[in-house]
Amino acid sequence: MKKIVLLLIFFSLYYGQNVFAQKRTVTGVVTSADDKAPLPGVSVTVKGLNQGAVTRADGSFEIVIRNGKYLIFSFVGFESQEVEIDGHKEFNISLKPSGNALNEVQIVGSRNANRTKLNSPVPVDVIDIKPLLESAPQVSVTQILQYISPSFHSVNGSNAGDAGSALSLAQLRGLGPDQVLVLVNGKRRHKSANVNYGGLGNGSTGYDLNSIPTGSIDRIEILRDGAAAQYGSDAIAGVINIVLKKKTDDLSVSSTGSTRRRGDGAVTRTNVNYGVGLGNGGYINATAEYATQAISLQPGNDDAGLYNGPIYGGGANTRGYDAVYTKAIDDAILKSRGIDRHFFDQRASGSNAGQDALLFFNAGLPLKNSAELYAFGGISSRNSQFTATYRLPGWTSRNNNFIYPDGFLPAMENNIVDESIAVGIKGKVGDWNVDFSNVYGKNVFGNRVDNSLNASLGLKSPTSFDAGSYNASQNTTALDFNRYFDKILKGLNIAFGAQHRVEGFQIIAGEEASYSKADQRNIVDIDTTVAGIPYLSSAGVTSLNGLSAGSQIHLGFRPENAVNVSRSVTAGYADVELNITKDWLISGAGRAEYFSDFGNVFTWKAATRYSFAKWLSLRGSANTGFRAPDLAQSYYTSISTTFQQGRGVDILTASNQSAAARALGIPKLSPERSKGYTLGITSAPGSNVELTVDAYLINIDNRVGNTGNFSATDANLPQDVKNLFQQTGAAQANFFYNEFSTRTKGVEFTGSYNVLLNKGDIKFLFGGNFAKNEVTQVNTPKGLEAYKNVILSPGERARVTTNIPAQKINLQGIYSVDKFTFLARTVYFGKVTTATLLSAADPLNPVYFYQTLKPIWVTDLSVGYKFTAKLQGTVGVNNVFNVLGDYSNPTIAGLRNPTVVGIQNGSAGIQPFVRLSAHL
Amino acid sequence: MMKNRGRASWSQGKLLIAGGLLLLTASCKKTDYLNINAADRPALAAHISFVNARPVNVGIQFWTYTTQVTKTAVPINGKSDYLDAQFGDVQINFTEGTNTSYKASREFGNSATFTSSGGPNGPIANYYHTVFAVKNTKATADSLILFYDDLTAPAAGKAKIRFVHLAPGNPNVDFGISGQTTLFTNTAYGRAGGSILSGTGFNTWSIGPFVTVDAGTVNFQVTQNSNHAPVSISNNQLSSVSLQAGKIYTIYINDIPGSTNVGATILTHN
Repeated sequence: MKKIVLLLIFFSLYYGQNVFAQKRTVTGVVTSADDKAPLPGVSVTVKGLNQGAVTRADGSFEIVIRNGKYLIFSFVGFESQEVEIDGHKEFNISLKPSGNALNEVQIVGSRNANRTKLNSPVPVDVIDIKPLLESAPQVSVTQILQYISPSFHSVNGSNAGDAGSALSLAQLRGLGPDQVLVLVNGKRRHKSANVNYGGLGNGSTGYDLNSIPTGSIDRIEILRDGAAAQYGSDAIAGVINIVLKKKTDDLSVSSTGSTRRRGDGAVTRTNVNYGVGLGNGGYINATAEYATQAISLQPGNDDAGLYNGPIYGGGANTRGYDAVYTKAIDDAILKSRGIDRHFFDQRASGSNAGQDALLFFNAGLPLKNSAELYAFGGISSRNSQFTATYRLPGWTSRNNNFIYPDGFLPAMENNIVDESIAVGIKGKVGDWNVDFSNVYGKNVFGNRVDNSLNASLGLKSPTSFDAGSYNASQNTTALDFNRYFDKILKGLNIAFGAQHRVEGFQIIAGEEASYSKADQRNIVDIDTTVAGIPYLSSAGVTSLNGLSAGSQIHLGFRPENAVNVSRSVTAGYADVELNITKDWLISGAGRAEYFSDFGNVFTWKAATRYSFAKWLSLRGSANTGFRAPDLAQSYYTSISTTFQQGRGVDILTASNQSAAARALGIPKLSPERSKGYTLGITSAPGSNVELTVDAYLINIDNRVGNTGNFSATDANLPQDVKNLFQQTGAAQANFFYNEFSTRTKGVEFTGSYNVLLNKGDIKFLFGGNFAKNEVTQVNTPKGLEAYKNVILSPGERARVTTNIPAQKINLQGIYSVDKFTFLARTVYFGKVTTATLLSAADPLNPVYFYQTLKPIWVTDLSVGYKFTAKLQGTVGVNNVFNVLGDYSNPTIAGLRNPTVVGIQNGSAGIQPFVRLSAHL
Repeated sequence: MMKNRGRASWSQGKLLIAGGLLLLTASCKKTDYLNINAADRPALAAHISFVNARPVNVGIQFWTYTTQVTKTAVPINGKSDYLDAQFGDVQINFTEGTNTSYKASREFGNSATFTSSGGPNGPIANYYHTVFAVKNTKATADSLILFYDDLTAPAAGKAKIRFVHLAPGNPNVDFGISGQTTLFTNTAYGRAGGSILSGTGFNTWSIGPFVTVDAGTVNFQVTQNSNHAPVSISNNQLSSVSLQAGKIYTIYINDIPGSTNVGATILTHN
């Protein structure tokens, strides 16, 4: 009901201002100077005013003018034109392709520079990020996309575990964060070195969009179709292309702050963007950005997540009170310490405390003969502090109460550094556009553990540890050719090129205390009870003497885990796009790649589009794709602690190269293969209305994942696997394996409607994605057929099928009038189902608890006001109705009160924000 | 021109900074408790008196997990002062002399019930405990047993006593003061007299309960429960025992090295 009232207020604002002034209507048609074709989607604005219109599918427009002297016509890929109105009523405008019209990827998915999103044979969303940065509550790239793109899901915060929570990875259509490719200015971006553990994207690496400052981004294009044949590995679910700003002669500063309901979890982000012209059409645009995230309380009610069990007693963390250790004893200790149960609260997940500092630039320098030298890149350093399960004081196998009398909340401090630099030169050789470029990128992921201890070292344990680091690097050299033949039928675009890429991955060991298993003396263990007192017999070396080893929350990398590996990738591709008639486009692409570690891969793609009428075009595509296993997946190994029914279990993620993996019959990793199909319609049924509907089907074979956990107590495992348990002290182990195949199918729709009012304008956007992900096959090594539910555990199966909302709907309106801008938006996150381990008593058939979380609508409102032409203020609210979604079921909440699960959108409840932006 | 731009940016900059600071200050206090230095808390410990009740004439050292708690070896039938020790789920071990290998280890607190592997519960913070290293019925085996010590002062003119049977191979016994009613009946090896280990009445103090007796000099007597035959106590350790008012005692019986006799020791807790 509240939603309806707010929408009514919004619309009354929109209708209530029909104050008519002296006005007249002018009309006209905009065409391309190149081929005289009408240009739809061209922005027509009155200079200095908010008033504007957009050209229709036939290039025509109509605009109501009250005052103003000039009209500005602007369109991506074309030079803007300014025309004096001066009493004219009709304008016929011809726009020239911009700059030197080289092979600039205007729209990802096509190498034809004039492709627009409506005449593309494959679905592409073009998200202009600037109005969202002005009006929307979200400040990070991934959260902005999460609230505007129906297919997009961001793995951040509560959605990813451990170090993964420091990152904001991108997922499309519910597929993995490594099954989408990210480009910057059309060039492949480097990946994060981190392998996600637990949570969404388990066992995969991904592209960390938040390593790029939002202030540097002009727009983001999302190609919702497989395009490995065009761009190579990873482009299975789609491709995200981040296009950097080129703006010059503008210094803009923007600062946003927001806080949660109780003043916790404050977020700030401030950026400065400055562009300068570099003689003769050149530019350099640079951005500096600084962001902070404060510690958050558990969302929801004040007692969410409160610990109810024994704190200082032997049952801490594992069982309830008993006759000996009663609640009264705990209460008396708490009283003597001057604290209450909230002292043992855990921080809200999904919002690691941290600071980000980012620098980015984008530059182009025209040379002789219409050539251009270009460069872009940047460096960012981000700190993220992940805290996990509170080690309660009585939990003495993990806590030493001489060091931490009240227990401790261990923190993993990740320092994440990304550096990238792209340098290229593009120009004409004969009639061919040529682009020669080199792009280098590296991600360094440092692991420091604070406020923790290595319990096995006893009182000698340090409380801070250098747990080691890992990094991934990538250098791509590419030579691309592109030519448009306007005389062949209705136009033919041919592109081809070659690339050479070197990828590296390195693990650097931590300090000894971060991984050591101290004091492994024989201890004697209980055998049986005779006459009242347990009889004790030597049990040999009991794992870790009962104490947990290594720095808790994250064990350091051991020297034998350290690796420094690389591989090279050589690729050649060809890409053809032909307009057979004015209305019929066909395109095809093929790409061959050679990976030094596993050999050849060939992929192809075909697409077509036919325009029946202005209001109806049909488009479709078919493609094959692949994803090469990351070096990190092949070589990563570490131990983490997972809590199963409240008990901490040290779990080894074993290297795919290990003897244990071979002993289990798990082969070296091979590429995932995909086949994708789309079929859709696009329509421009009326003035300033665009609609697209696309159905898709993606089959992926042999996806690489982390298996479930093999148990040290399983007598049937090969000796090499048992040795691995003995060497590491882990109780369970998992492996990287090409373990399952999936089918993803769904329908996506998008629409936009721009209304020019007598005063102001309103832009509606809507979109939706209805998808279904299912597992079609689980691979098992020979002889391990019975381990099907271990290899793909029900928990992991849920992550890849039902953990991401299969239904998502975005509705947004931005209304600009006079000095005001209003934003109203609501996003529907469909139901999700989680699976939580209840019992692994039968390791081959673990018992899981399934919980389905009800759908939620998250609504944002904001109002912006221009104090002066140079200074704007915006206030608003994210999640105005404080919709939290379901709490965890008491069955799985354990000794703590249920908490808000929050995996649908990671929302933390109502979150007001203020923003000031200035153009100086 | 440049000057104007500079001034404008400063005032606008101030606004930005003020807005940011407002939000930051609002958010500080509420979450401070989630960001404390956990090592910077006042100390808290359990207090344990370690007793060497093994019939082996060697001093022993006690450990909690890998930390040696006793600084000097506890001689046979000797006890340490109440020493600060870990609380919660605690593995207690002992070593002989300067030897570093554990003779026995037992984890107290990993089970809710009084079981062989985890009974009854671990040491409790701020509480006082007595932990005995004992010999088991099996000739070569050692073990550990833990009692919670209720050190609340007895009434004026009274003393508190507890009896523990740690003499393996000996039958259940009754314990009392000669000429008075029996204080503890039918105490089995490995148990404190009058202990309740499950069901109604089972609590922290019921594992090793104390009873209040009049102060004064007494003769304790230990008899077999089955036939009321007296158990001979080596060196008459339990005769003419002076119980002082306000004092709290544990009396235990155990084996004697190289002898089949039963010995007895009186521990004073305060």
